[in-house]
Amino acid sequence: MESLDKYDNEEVQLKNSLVRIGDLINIDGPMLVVFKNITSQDFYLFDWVDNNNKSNRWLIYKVDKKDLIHFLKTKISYKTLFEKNSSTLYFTDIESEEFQAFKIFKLKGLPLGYKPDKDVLFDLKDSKNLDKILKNLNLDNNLNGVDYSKEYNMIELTFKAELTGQNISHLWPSHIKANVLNIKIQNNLNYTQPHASKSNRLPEQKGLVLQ
Amino acid sequence: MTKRFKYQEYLDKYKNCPMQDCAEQDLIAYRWVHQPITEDDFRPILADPNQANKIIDGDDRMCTGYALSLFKDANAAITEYRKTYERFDRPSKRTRFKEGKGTFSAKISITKNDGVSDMPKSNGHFHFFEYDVDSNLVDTVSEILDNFV
Repeated sequence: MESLDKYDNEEVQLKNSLVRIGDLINIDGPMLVVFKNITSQDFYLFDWVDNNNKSNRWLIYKVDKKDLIHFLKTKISYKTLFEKNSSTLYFTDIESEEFQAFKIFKLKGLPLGYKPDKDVLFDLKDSKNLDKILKNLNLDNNLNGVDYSKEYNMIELTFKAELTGQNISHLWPSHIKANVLNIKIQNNLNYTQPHASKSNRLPEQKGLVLQ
Repeated sequence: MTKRFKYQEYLDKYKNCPMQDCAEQDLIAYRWVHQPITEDDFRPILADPNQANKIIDGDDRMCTGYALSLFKDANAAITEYRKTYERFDRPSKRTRFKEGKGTFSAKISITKNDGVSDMPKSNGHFHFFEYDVDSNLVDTVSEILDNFV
């Protein structure tokens, strides 16, 4: 793990105000996580950058809501999102055995290896609990003209139908068919059939897991 | 007699773990590995001694974190490796990914006595929960491919 010598030793009092909303990227665990400051209502990102055998390092910064929405709508890359919002940067090293005891510090300089050097766009397949993120951004489950709430409802209807031996996939519009199939595969929904019997509960996205 | 899994004490903390559709199977699979291969290449991510678990809260400890990630064929293993690598937007992440996963894919043989696995997803990835037996998956490696060639 990179050694960080440019930071303030005084702990920043931010941790207790932050509530985790969901993961924009979850590959082998969380990598880019949205938090909300319950006091200021500002959004913060925890951005995984490094690890060793004891702890994982996260950059933390406040992110403008509009920029976050633009990233979700793939209008800007993560590199652009980071560059527009990271004028004040914090970091924390979270030990896996003591993950609740982390401390946040203000960073004064960023190692070169921690700077994004290529444009990567948001991909729904990498996310976890996206519905919660969208709800907190007042996006009404609508990204790029696709209403994910309708798609989740379609999944529930489909599973209810499957449980009673019916197949209603022929009723899906083509764009929903592709996305529902994608979400279904991502979520291994054949393991989570109980969701289908709870009509008001949406399946949570699990993200990619590559152990 | 019920067979015991490796990491059984952790699996017991989850409902439906291993998942109910997992089954014993004889199969060939591919696993991302380092070169030379060691037993550490066959440890699930939450049991990997070389990498801290990426955990922010308790929800990040999942049942499948105690399964091995495998791929149904070489093409799936290498394609998914490269796609995942391309998703990392900064040098530190790409370096840690290569250090953590290795840069090779190894062909291994699994028998019904070794454990249970689920069905591959569309990208060819599936989970394998290993029984707590003496067999060593390293010994079954019959081919090693470079993920970047």
